Amino acid sequence: MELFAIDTGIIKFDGGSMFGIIPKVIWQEQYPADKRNYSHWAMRCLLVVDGDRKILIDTGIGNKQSKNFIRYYTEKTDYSLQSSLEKHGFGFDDITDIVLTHLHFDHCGGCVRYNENNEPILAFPNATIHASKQQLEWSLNPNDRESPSFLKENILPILESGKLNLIDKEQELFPGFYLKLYNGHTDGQIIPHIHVNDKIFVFGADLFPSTTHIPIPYIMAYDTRPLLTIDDKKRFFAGINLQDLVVFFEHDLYVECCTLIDTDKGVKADKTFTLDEYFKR
Amino acid sequence: MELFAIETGNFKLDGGAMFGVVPKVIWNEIYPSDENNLCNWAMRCMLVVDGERKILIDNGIGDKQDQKFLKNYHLNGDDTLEKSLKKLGFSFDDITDVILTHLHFDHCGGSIKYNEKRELVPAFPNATYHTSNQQWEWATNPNRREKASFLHENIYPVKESGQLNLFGSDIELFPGLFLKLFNGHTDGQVIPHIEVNGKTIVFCADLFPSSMHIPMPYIMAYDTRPLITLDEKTRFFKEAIEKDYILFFEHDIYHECCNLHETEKGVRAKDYFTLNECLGRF
Repeated sequence: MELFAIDTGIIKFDGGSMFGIIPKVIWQEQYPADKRNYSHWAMRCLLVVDGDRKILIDTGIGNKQSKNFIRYYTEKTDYSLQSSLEKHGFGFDDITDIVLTHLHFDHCGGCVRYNENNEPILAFPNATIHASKQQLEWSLNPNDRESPSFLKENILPILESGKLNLIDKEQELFPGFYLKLYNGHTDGQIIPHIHVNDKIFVFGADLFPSTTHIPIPYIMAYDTRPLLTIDDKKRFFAGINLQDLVVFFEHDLYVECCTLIDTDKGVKADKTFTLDEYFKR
Repeated sequence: MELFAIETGNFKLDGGAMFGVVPKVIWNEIYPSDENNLCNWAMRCMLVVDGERKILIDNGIGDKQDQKFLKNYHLNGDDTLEKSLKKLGFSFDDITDVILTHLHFDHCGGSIKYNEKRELVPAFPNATYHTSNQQWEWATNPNRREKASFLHENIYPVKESGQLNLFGSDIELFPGLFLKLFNGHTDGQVIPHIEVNGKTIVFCADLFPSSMHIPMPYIMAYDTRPLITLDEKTRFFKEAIEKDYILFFEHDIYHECCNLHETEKGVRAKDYFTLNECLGRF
């Protein structure tokens, strides 16, 4: 099994929103913000290649939103979902499976694109799309707080494609490829755990958006149920041997992966590295 | 029944934490922060005088915390609980009832003081302290997130004094003084609704810490259950518009009170005024 980081772009979110109750005097020492208080975040997906199976976890913001939307949320980059897949020798057609951790637009937007007739179609014609039943239901009946993050143009075409595989409990989707469910950020967020050699690679998604968010009090203001996020983090650390873990960050612009260490102040990031470094590519 | 605003001083909290998912480019225009991203907030309590009964709602941060703690929160302003009561001709001994909306230190810190022997005693020796059962349980078995806001020295001495009265549901505590419970910010937050001269004045506490927090998305990152806060705001607005409630703000440094109206964008503040103006005292 081989893992590749697929950088799809940079999104801007207000630092205060990303760090919740943590005061700026503390978080800005660890994660910078620009003059307008926006921090820059990666939309880094993960490609898992296991023989003929090519699994992409999340897909970034995509390219079908309006110019205003893109200008408001993103920073220009010289890479994209397409160029990052091509860099490793893959195209959209090669992907056999997509795992969507959840259906916020910065995670699932790349799944659907417009064809020449401006009709929404799946960007990965040969892929089965895996998402959680809880998350789908949550996104179709959104609360006021999350409704701006659930865009119907991202979700309805997937629903209508007949390619959707809904999961409703934690499972081993493929050999060594486990899906776990967490509910603090949004209902039924999938956190993939991938066993490679003697390590477990955890796709942090919005449970651990960045290294800065590892300590328990660092919870995004976006989380719909912050008390559950505390439980989620405790449950995550309780069931696992820290030495076995590598966390892969979807949103940390500066760190792709890290190992973890237990300190008197709780669990923190230890060594940081890229997947290419880890796999000596 | 007469109502008075009791200013107890101001303190500072990070603007990002106070405005949750709202970006700074938006909130900073209306509630500006200093160079450290801190905004200045009032701790404005309310005194309700009804004949012999003198009811104080919340009591600020108090003066028993150490210098380091007080410095962390940048206490400022000339007003204190004692001075503000005195200005109206009252002292701590005159207060017959204290209503604690909840037990976070910026709301209940003035409940307890040190006596000459440096023992923790009620600052209001003749008062019954009222709060909700739910909040008491929540504060004495705190979750990790709120733990830092529930200070042992603010909470346990109230019970030990024998002056604590706990209640478990929405009640009319005294004629015209209704206590309603809300759970989004913290479990069992008490929101007093006071009927005076045909008006209903709502002590908003941390349901609406400031007039800025009226629009739906403005929910503090401190709220433990933001989805419940959303529901509570919706429910509250329906009643508030129907009955023309007056909102009294504990933390808004710029505005003491406002009423509400429905706009295309949702419910918004309509007119701003002080409690004195609203009650026809000039």
